[in-house]
Amino acid sequence: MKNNEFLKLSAIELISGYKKGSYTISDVIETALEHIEANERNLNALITPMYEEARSRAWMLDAALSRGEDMGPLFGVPVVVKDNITIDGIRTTCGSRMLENWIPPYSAHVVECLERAGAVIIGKANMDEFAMGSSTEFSAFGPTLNPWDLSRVPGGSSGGSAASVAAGYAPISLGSDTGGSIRQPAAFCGVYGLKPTYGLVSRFGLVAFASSLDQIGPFARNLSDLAVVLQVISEADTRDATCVRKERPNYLDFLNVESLKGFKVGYLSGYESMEIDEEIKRGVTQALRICQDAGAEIVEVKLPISTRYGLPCYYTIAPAEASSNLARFDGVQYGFSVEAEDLQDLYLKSRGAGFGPEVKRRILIGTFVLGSSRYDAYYLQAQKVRQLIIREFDAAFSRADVLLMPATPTLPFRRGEKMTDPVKAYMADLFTIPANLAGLPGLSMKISFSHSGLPIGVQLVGKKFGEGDILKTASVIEKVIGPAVTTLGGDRK
Amino acid sequence: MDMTSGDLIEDIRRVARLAMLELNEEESKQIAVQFKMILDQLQTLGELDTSGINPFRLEDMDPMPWRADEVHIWNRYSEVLSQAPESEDGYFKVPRIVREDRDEK
Repeated sequence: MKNNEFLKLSAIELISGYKKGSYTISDVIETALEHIEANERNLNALITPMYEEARSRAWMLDAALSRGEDMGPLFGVPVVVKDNITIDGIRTTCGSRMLENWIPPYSAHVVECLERAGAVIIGKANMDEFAMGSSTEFSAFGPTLNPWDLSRVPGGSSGGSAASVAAGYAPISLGSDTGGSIRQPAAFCGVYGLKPTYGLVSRFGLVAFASSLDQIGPFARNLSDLAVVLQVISEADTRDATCVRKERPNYLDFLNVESLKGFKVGYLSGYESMEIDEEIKRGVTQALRICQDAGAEIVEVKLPISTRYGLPCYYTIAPAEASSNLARFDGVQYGFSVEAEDLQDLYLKSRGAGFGPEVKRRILIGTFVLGSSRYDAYYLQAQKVRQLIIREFDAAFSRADVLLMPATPTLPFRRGEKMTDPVKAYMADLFTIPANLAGLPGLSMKISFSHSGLPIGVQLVGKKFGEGDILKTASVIEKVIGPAVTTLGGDRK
Repeated sequence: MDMTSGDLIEDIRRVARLAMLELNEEESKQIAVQFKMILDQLQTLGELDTSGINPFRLEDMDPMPWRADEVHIWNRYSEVLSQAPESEDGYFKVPRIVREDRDEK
């Protein structure tokens, strides 16, 4: 096997090769690291590549393998982790100057899970500053480019995680999703991206943006890999009080379905009149037809409040929570700090110089809507609208098992296109935000490529803890259209 | 809510002080333009009738689990302090908190 072929293999294929002794973990990790080194100048998907750590871990795992030790479900698999998820001893920047030199003294729960499963973390992924953005252009470390077309954005905020998987840096990665930050970049980069149900995956060690919306989730190029990572990271954890204790199903079991008989797929109607890319609309129709051919009943579902008011609801609640969460960055205990005459000066100047424009904008909006004279009209009203959105989804799920809709209103947009108009930029999250507000799981997956060669994504949204329903539906689609592919060529469908 | 741009810039300066964010003149002006557009969007929420809705419904949530009240030894204080811009004798060090001229106002 040519070394380059390693980069196209799935996690499951890599492990089976290790077991057969076809190649070593060090062979694979070395190939991945060389590939990263050769491509990072263009792509900028990683803030901190972990060359030394990955090499020594691969060596250690090879030694364990030769001793015949038990292999975990991600044994020797290279993984990229978004840079707002802590790894003990590795700097975690959140894409911000504020945390440029912060080295956390603890690892996130999901990182501990990955390590126990035998994964080799090879780098920390680029992201919009503090996960605020939809293009990864708001990173203090420069933008990540879309590996399918370097003149376009990879989406965001987990743009580095999505681009890494599409470009073959690693078969899997982790991101976080507060309003679409996994699903939107997954759609833009042509890979799978899952935001789990709120409470399924522990947020311990995830730097908080909006605590009632944030959730960590996986990226992958096929559903089996995605299911394995979900299994690994969804282990219950008491260090996040919102992490549920209920038993997790075996997610791989949901992928062995032949038909969707007796299963209802909800088709989101009423958005056709909106400004949605025609090729994306066709992608949704294509996915629906596949479900129908597999025996699913297609039912029409309307989500008028979520579609019309989801955005303003989110852009009230998320900044409100962010303004509180980001109060901890004060230049005193860690992070960016400037010389100041007195304590208040230290706060004002450190935060003024340490945060970038989008973060400042959202902190200001959040502080504004929480102000005592505006609290009822803005924040409280948004919380009430959030309840209406939850009810609307409850009604939809009384008719359907899973909902199918676009992941994004547009194909990947050009770099710089939406930097100056925040309202236009916020539109990128139109279809992803409602699932966060209602705490529901959502998956975005590539359905095809546009005439211009860009990935087209669709989204599946499930009931609370309905990850199984999503995987089941997606696996029927994957069987027809094939898994996602890397930009390395030769295997594109 | 109708705000002239002058009012809005003043409002933003006030909110920025509350949020402990130093903004320069250009930032304030730029943010004022964007703020207006964003607030126009947020205000559309007022179109919905939400009377009688409990904004913080919790009844369908699982009760939060209790954890054991146990002491865990964690002794990496020096690592934590080494991240601070200034520390002394095991404490974080900050510039003086009260400035005389501010106190008199």
